[in-house]
Amino acid sequence: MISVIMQFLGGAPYPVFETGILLTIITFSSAIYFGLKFDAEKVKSNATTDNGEENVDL
Amino acid sequence: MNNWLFIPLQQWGEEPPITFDTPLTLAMVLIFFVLMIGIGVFAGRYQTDEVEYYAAGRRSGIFVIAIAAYASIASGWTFIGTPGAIYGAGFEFLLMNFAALGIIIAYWLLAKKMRLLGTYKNAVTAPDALYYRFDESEHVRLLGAVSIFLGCMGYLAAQYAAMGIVGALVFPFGFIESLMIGMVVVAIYTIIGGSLAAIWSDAIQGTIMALSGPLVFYYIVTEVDMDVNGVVSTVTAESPNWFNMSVLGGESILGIGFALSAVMLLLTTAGQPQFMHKFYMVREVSLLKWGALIAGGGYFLTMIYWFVTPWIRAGTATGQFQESANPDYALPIAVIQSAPEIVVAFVLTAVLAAIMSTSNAFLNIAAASIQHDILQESFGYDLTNKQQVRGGRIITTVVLIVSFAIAATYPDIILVLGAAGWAMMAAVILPGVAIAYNWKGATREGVIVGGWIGVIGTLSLEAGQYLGFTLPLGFLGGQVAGFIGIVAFVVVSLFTSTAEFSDLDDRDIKDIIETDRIGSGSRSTERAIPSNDD
Repeated sequence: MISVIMQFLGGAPYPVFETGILLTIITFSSAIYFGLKFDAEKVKSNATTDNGEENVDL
Repeated sequence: MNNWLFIPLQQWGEEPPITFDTPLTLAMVLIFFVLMIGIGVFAGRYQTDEVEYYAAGRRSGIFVIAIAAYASIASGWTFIGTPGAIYGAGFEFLLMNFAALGIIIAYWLLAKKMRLLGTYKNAVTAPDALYYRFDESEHVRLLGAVSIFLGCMGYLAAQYAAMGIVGALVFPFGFIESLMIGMVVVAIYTIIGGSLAAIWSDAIQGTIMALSGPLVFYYIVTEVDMDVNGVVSTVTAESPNWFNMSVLGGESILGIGFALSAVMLLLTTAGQPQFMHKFYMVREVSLLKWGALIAGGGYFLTMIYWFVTPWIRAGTATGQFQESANPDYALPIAVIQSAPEIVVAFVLTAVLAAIMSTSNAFLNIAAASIQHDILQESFGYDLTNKQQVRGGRIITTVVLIVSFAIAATYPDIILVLGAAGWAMMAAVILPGVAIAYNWKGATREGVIVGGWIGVIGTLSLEAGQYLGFTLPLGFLGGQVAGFIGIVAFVVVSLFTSTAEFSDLDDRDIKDIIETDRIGSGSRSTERAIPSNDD
């Protein structure tokens, strides 16, 4: 299986192959970046009322 | 340019040039069908109200949700239509590789925000998201519901064509009989089990699909037994422009307009309600962390079906694989003629799974848009919990039958219906939800003008295409109309102000708009996120 993949990656005589490989790298690296940076603890709060008081409903 | 090159999944009612209805295949498909129906019956016990029926009770984990999200995007087009199109129209069609990137972009724009919307506003549909973002506008909600309903009808029709094609391969019956069998199974588990059955069946189907990709690649490449240079020279000798890219200025088989339409189609995944809908169902925000990798990675494994197409083309050129006049059969024929029986049975089951997972997702959101958005919210029908579940089941059944009738009545425009369906939903949901929850300047006038341009423009251009009018360079009408609609949304929003951020009174919605897509950001005041159990 590995030799098949290496064959596939090795030839690449036309830009379509490189384009596909580049898109693949961008896709996976962006997904990994999302996971590493994801912070689930807080969200933005407009936590004051029109009078500037703490919005207790939150 | 030959017309057939641009009409994947366009064949309706055609009997396949090859079949594989062996006892092992039938047994595997039957086991899969029984499992799906079992999930439906089990999930049916949990159906107590519309949050259960349309949002799976908001208690799902990320593996189920992320796999279900990509499975709802991976469809009959992924496994049958796209390999067929690449086979016929050239390797440039590999631009569809943007599909996985489209999933990551959609996840980045929507995941956290839709999850919060589900908790703060009890949202269950995409039109709910539109309604709350645009200052509780019923007009915008109705626009969203109409676009989803019309879009689902078109997209379901394309799935039925694929189901008939694959069904006829594995069952000892013809196209229509096989299609009816598949439809009945989808109907049973979707109608009884609602979205809970849909996401669990999607998760199993998505796993089967992802596993099948590497298997297909391995067996076809080893059967053809050529390195890349051999494949390129064999295919190029037969079709000199097959590897060229029109988008890079080359003389290719594919029209540049069609290539750009394909890119547009994939990059608007964030405008697909069957995808964004899944985020309402996640139990905790923290669970979203690795979902983009799971969903994008899963889809990537299914795209291996596309990477292997040059070997299929080369194998056909050298006579190793049987040639078919219909390119939709190129991949099934290559798999059948290169892999062991058990692998072929598994792959054909995976393809059926892909078609069914998309079908049940669309059935679910189409029914939700009719019952929840149009009947209950726009027209004010007050239903009890039991009536909501019963109504959901009846409407799902009606949608199934009507979309089948449309597909059978207009078999010549299956692809047009599918591409148009995707475009109509993207024309409204992409600007109104994916962009508007990330852009404070989006206005109600903007989404109404842009959305209607997208929907009516798509219907007009596709109707024109049916009557013989074609756009130059292979552009698809839906994607052109959708693009114009999104531009109109931005331009109109810049010159109007209704429901832009400073105009909103709802603090929950303002919080969601300002919340960072990934992190918490450097803000002075922050708000703890409640779980759906709170």
